[in-house]
Amino acid sequence: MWAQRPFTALMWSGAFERHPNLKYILTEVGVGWMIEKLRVLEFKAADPIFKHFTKDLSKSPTGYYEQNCFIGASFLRPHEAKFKDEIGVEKIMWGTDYPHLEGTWPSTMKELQETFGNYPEQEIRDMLGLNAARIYGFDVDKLAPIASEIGPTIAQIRGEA
Amino acid sequence: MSDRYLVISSDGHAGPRPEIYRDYLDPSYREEFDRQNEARMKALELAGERLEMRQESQQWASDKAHGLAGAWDGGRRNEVLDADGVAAEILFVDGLTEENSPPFGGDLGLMPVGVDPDHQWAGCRAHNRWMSAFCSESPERRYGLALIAPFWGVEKAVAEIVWAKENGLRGIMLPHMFTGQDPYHHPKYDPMWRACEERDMVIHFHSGAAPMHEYYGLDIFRARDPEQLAEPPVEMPGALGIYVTEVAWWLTRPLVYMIWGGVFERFPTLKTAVTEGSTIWVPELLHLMDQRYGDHHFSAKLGTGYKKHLSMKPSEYFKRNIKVGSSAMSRREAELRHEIGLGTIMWGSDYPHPEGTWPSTQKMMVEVLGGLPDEDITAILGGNAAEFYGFDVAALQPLVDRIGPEKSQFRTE
Repeated sequence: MWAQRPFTALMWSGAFERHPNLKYILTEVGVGWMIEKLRVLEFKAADPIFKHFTKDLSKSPTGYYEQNCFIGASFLRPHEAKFKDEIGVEKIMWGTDYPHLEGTWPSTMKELQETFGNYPEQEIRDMLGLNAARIYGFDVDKLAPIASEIGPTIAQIRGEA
Repeated sequence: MSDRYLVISSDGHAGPRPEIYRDYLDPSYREEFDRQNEARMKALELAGERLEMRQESQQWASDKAHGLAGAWDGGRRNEVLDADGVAAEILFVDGLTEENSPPFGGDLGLMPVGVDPDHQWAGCRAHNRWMSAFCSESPERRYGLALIAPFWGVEKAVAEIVWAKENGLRGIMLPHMFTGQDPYHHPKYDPMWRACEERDMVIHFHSGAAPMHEYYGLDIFRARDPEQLAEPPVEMPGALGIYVTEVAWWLTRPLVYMIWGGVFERFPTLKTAVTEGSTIWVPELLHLMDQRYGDHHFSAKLGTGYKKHLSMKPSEYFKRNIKVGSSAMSRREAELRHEIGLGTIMWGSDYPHPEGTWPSTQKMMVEVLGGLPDEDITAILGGNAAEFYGFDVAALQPLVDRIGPEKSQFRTE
């Protein structure tokens, strides 16, 4: 996949090794494939034939994924959200893709209910906004007044209100 | 019930030395062959030096000259296969890469770039003629493949497929790189698919070719011109790692094009094999294509027209029409066999290439497949290939009884 190629190049070339704080965000490219992709990369990295070009890499492919990668999960669907623990809840940043046709608008609330309705409250808060706030450095205190005015409530996402 | 396994290698390579290819070339191309040969051998040498694993390959080959001659010597080849426990094999081009590539770009990559179409066809035909003769020495053991260059006129491709079938070859190899050419979902290729389906000629794609400048940088174009070699090319960290990660992706792209293009819908008994790209990508690719086929939300922008010509899910065409040659298979792939598809995997040795299993074939087979149920080992080592290619199993049985790996080795007590 074209969307997977930059990760492959950054990982193997040692860019993530040399720049451990570099943040690489994959947006609107689906999420389920990352687990499979890492499995393939681990398979290659473990092959003794390729030993001498993994010698400058201190981590495994999964290690670099954990260190440098985050997921812009546009219109995260229930079948993708179920992989959240393998992907890492702390990496997932929900997105609407507004104003694109394939995005959640104008049925955003309905989509949020379908995808997140059954998950623990803290995970919902993390995936909907707190992860993005941390990763991009949004000022949460400044956003708090507007969030309390227009943000969806947990009860709404659970379909209870 | 035999106490030995029928082993069919889905990946063998054979080809003669350049001077022999010269004899099989149409005479009108021999002068040009002589003009290009020296430069070509030098270029192959240079390309080999660029490979970071060059030294390992040379060291590996240093004490194996006798067995390596099986790349072109039929008697020697049977000797090697007997010792490996391999009864039969599918034969691709590219015996020993540095010495046995056909001329004029008629090689394993069959790249449609930087070649003269007539010359590339002449190189392909020289190889096909040699391969036909080579297979006729041991027809029950050697299923040879014809090189087909489909981008220079589909009617020429069809004519060569007809010739190949009439001359004992069992399938064809097509390039998986279609750089600058119409890709494989173009309907103009239908006569080629039909010619293969009607003659039960299995289509093959073999790993290797890729856009090398995307790994080694644009310097590799300059490196071909000695006058520009004054500055050494910039070393690109991780180039080979990126290449080996992506190489199977280039290899498998034609499957995506053929499945979505409805090729297997229109030609339901057309058979296709992809070889030496491992099998580890199969679950991911099938999951992705089925997801795109079935996910209505994703397809909101696309409508439904993009799949109305398909009567089945992509994974169903894959299971029906496609097999995967697993060269020097790993234990990890054996453990994942049900996810990959037990009926999909065809073990391969890749002899005489250095990354293959020879000369430790039987030892590696046991390491990879030991402890699996007998019927799974039977399918992977030879059963799947026997059925797919229609090998004459009865004719091979006396050979299997003599040289096949003993089943007892694979049992763990």
